[in-house]
Amino acid sequence: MKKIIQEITGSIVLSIKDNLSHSALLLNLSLSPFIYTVVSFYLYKDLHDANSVFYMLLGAGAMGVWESTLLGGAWSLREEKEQGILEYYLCTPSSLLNIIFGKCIVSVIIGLIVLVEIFILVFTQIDISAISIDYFKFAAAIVLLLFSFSTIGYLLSFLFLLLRSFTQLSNILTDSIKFFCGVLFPITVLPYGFKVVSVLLPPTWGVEIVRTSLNNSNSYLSFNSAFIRVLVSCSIYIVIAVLLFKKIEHKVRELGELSKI
Amino acid sequence: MAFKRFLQNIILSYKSIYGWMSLSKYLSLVILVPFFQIALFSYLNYFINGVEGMRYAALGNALYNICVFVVFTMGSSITSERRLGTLQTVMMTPSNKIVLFITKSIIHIFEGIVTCGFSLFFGKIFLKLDFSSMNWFQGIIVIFTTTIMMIGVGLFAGMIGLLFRRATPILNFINISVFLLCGVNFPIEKFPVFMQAIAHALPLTYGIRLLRLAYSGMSIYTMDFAYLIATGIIFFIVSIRIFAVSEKYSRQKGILEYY
Repeated sequence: MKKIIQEITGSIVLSIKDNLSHSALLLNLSLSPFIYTVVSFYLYKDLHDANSVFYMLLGAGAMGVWESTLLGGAWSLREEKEQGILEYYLCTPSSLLNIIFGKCIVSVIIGLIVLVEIFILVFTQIDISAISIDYFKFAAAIVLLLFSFSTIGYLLSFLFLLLRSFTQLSNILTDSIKFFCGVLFPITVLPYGFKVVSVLLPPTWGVEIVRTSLNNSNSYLSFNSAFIRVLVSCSIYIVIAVLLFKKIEHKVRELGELSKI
Repeated sequence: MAFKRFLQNIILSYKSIYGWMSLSKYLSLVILVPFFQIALFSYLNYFINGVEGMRYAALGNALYNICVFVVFTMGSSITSERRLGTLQTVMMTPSNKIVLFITKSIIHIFEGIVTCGFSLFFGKIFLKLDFSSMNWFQGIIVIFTTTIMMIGVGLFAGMIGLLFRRATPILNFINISVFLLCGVNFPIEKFPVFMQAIAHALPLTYGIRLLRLAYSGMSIYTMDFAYLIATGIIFFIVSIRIFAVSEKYSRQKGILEYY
C-alpha cells in the first residue's frame, strides 16, 4: 500500500512540475473554456430562467474540465513519447497504472481550477440570486463530475499508449465527448442513435447529477438516480481500464513501438 | 516555368505531409472532427432557438471549418518545420518564403473546402438543413472567395510560427477567437461595439453572412461581398509586410532554431 501511495505521489509531483514548465499549455487550457463560456453566455443571454443560466455555467465548466483531462493527461504522454522517455516507464519497477493515475489526478486538479475560474467569470456577469442550488448536493455533484471525466481519461491514457500518434484521436474526442455527454444541452434533444452512445459514457451522468443539484431542476433524473448511474458507469470504466492494462502493457512491450512518433 | 515549379511544390508538399498518413487518420481529420464540432454547436442552438437556430449554426460552422484549415495549417506548417529542425534550411532558400508557405498550404485549403462540403452534407442528413431554396452557384462563389480571402489571416498565423517557439497554443487562440467573433453561432450584433468592430475586420464574418444569404436564395452581390474582398486584400497586404518583418527579425535574433 505504501509503495502504491509513493508511486502515485511521485507521479503527481512530477506531473505538476511538468505542467508548470509548459505555461503555454496552461494558457491554452484556460483560454479555450473561456471562449466557450463567452459563446454559451451570448447564446443563453436572451433566456432569463435560472435553469438556462445554470446550463450555460455548467456547460462551460464541464468543457474546461474535459479539455484539461484530455489535454493535460494525454498531452504529457505525447510529450514523453516525443522526448523518448515513455519506454522507461515500462522499465521502472513502478506500476504504469499508478503513474498514469497520478497524472489523471493532476489533470483533475487543473480541471477544477479551470472550473472555478469559469464560475467566477460567469458570476461577475449574471445575477445568480435567481439560481437556487442545494450546495451540499452541488459540491458532491462537482466531485462526481470530475471523477466521471477522469475515469474516461484514465481509460483513454492506456489506449494512447498503443497508438503511434494520438493527435487525431484527441482531436475527435475533444468535441465528440462534449457532444455526446450533453455538456451544453440535455441529451434529450439528440436523435435516438446518438443517445445510445451518450448513456454509455460516465460524463453524461456526471453532468446530469450537477444539473439535479439545482432546486426546481427540470432534469429528467433525481439526484439519487443520477448518483447511482455515475458510480456504476465510472466503476465499469475503471474495471475495464485495469483489465485492459495488462493486455495493453503486454502488447506495447511486444510491439516495441513506444518510441515511434 | 514558374507555374510548373509552383505545381511541383504543391505536389511535393502534399506527399511530404500525407505520404505516411493512413486513410483512416486522414478521414478522421477531414470528416469526423468537423462533424462533431458542427453538431455540438448546432444542437446547442437547436436547444435554445429551435430549428432556425440549428440551421444558423450549421452554416456558420461549415464555413468556419475552412478557416481552421487555412489559418491553422499555414501557421502549423512553419511550426512543424521548426519541430523537425528544417526551418532554418527552408528560410535559407532563395525562394520567396510567402509563396513557399502558401504553396505548402494549398492542399489544406482544398481540404478545407472539401470539409465544408462534407459539413453541408451532414447538415442535410443530421442538422435539418434544407437546400431547396439555396442558390448553389452563389454559395460556391462565397465558399471559394472566403477561402482565398482567409489566406491573409493564415499568413498572419504563419508569422506567429516564425516568432514563437510554441506557436500551437497561440494558433489555437487565434482560431478560437475567430470562432467567437465572426458570427459563427449567433449574430455579432449581440456583442459590445468594440467586439463588433473587430468582427467587421475579419473576412470570415462577411463570408458567413453571404453563405446564409445564398442559403436563403438571396443575392450575395451586396456590400458584404465588397467588404469580404476588401478585408481579405487588406489582411493579405498587411500580413505580407508583417511576415517579411518577422522573417528578418527571426534571422537577426537567431530564433529559427528554437525548439
